[in-house]
Amino acid sequence: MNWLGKRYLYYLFSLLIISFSLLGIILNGFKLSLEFSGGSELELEMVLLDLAQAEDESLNAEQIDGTIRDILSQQEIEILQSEATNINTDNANASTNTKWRLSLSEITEEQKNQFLASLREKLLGYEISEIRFQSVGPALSQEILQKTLIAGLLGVGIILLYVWWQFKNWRFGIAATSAMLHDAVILAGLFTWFGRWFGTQVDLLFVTALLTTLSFSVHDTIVMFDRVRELQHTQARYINLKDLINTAVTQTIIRSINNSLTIAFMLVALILLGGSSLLWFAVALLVGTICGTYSSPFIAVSVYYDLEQRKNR
Amino acid sequence: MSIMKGWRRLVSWLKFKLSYSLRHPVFNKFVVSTFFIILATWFALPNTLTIPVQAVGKALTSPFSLEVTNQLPTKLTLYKVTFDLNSYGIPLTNNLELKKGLDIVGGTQVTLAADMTSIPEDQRVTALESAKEILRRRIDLFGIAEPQLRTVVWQDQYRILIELPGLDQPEAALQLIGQTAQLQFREYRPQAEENNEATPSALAILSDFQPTDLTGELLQRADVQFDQTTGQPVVALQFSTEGAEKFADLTANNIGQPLGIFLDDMPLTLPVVNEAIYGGQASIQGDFQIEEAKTLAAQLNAGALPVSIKVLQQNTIGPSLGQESLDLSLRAGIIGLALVAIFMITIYGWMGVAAVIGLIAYGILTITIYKLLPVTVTLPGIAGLMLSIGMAVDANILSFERIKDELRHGQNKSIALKRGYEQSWTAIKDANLATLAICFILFNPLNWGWLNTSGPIRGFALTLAVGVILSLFTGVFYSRILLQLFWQKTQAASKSK
Repeated sequence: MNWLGKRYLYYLFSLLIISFSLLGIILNGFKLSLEFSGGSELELEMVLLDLAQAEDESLNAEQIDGTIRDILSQQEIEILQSEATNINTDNANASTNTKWRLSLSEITEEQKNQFLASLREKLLGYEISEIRFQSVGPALSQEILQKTLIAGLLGVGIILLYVWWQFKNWRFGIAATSAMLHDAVILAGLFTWFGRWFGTQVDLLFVTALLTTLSFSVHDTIVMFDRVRELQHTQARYINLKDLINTAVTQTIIRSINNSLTIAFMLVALILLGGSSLLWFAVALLVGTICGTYSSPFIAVSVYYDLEQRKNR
Repeated sequence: MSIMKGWRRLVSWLKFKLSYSLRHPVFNKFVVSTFFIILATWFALPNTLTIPVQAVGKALTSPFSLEVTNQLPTKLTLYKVTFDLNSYGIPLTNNLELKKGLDIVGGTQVTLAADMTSIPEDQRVTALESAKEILRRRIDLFGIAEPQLRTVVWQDQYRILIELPGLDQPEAALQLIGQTAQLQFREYRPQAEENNEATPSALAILSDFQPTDLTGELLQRADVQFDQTTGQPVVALQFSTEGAEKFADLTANNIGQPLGIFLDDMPLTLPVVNEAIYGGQASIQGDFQIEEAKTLAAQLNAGALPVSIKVLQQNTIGPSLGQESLDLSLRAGIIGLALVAIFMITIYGWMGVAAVIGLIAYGILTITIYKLLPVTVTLPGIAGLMLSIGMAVDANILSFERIKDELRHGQNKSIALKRGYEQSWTAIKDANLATLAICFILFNPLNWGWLNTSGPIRGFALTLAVGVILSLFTGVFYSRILLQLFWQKTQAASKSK
């Protein structure tokens, strides 16, 4: 098959998606999670145990939200966001049982305990349990962001040098790295849109997924390049570079798709059945897997071919 | 009769298989590696396995409408035969549980910043280590199992990272952690003379020690040294000029008496004063192991180099959140694996079967390694594990596609197998090395301060790296042996032609 013949189509397609991603990054920006932005986050579960004790004004989420805001403003704590979801319990008053997620300015353990004590006083009849409390100072969040960027750049740099060295040709290195960056930009851009649509946050897990995408993408690309290199050793005398690369892609694309399918099976299972805490992580990995599978035969190989063509011109 | 006939046929078939196999070198490899995997299973299995048998009993008996179900035990608990070589000095046991991370069991994670402004620059690392020892001591007193403490130094930032599993009400612990260490030297002044004769209780002894004005600030530093004559480790103390005078007075007044060295109002050590010590150099002798001496020196240093500590970040996770996610993820993982198995067998037939057996072995070995290293299982870690399963399958797919190519070109199976694995090896090696390079950056094994040191990402990197290495064993070595065994018969047939 003549894969390379349509390479301008692939470039155009990728250009469109990348523009969409860059547009997302510019328009939406990254919705940073607590680790990166600093501040506090408190998750509470409220279960109404005794209906008789509860006052009328504490029976719906809006009113509870008001109570929470009152207490917080008395304590001079800034509230950025509050979010309530219903939870299923065996309890009779199931409709009033809620899980709260509060994003606050940075508070200490004592401030949090004070808040909980006042809340328990106000909301009689409720059992209020703290599920999660996290607090990150602004200095630390800056540092994590910085270290994450360093890790990402270092990863890209090492892969560039590694491929260059393994294949004894810098064009392979550049081609593999550009496919890798292509995937990373698409994944990051897509998540800014997810942030806009679904409130998805960019957290440390997302960064892990991004780095894994880099590694998966290059894994896939290396397998294809390996075939190109092998054919160059055995067949270069008989056929031209274009036919050679086309043969290499034809020979490896089935393996590439089969392998991605197995990973996709695992990830789709995780997305559908894995619960909320790993959901977006699994989505990020799935997007990364799809991008990585696409970019190896269509972007990395095409870029390599065009680089070789320039040399010969 | 027909059963006997079938049995005989089976036995003779097995005999043929075995006699052929024994002459084949692959068989030896198979036996050794399978033995290895079975041994690993012994480690990987949980210590007790509870099977609800009532369901089985009902299903079996209902067609016959027997009423035995009521008498059946509802649960069958199997106990694993365990061994423990620790008592023979070999640190090996199969009596191990999987270590679960904070995000699964719940607990508190705290990042502390140490204020080093008052500490001379060359002693800051010592001071940080001492502060960590103090925190460990306080946490141990608090009775928290398996706390994790690490120090991180980056530029001029001195940090201590603490993980307290199972602790979901951290107020009291946090308060305890935040205190600055108080080191005091106390004199032995028994309050009631008559009690001296009888054996006094431990509490009475503690209250018999009276504070003096010699405190940690007057101690310059403590070091581990070795006694020149006996070679035993001793803890050497170095006092400031003011401290030296006070220490001389204190020792002169208390010859033959115990001297109490108290940290946070709890005794660290109670050495007996042999003679008055002038000049500010003293040493504590005792039957120390080198590690004990080091810990004592570090704890004394915490008093000498008091560091004030601030909470930079804290994260408390309730246990229910994690356990639920773990169960869901595990279920998802098993379903995902089943899908992968069906897919592989559909596409690659017998080769797929070899791959699936390889995958099962991979799972067993992974759990064994997790238990032995140990690897702490966190949620990102599980994701890393799932991804590495994908990569384990990839090694198989790469080889199988090559084998198919060779078969298509008319090679016989044994040559196709050999060449398939040989040709795919460079690609497998290069691709996996790239993954390991990424793991290296994420895991940050040298603890570089300018790279991430966060637990979850490290967990992910470690599980991915373990997965990649194991997948080379099961995906390349073991599945190849299995395929060679599967295809022996056809090979024998083609030879006899």
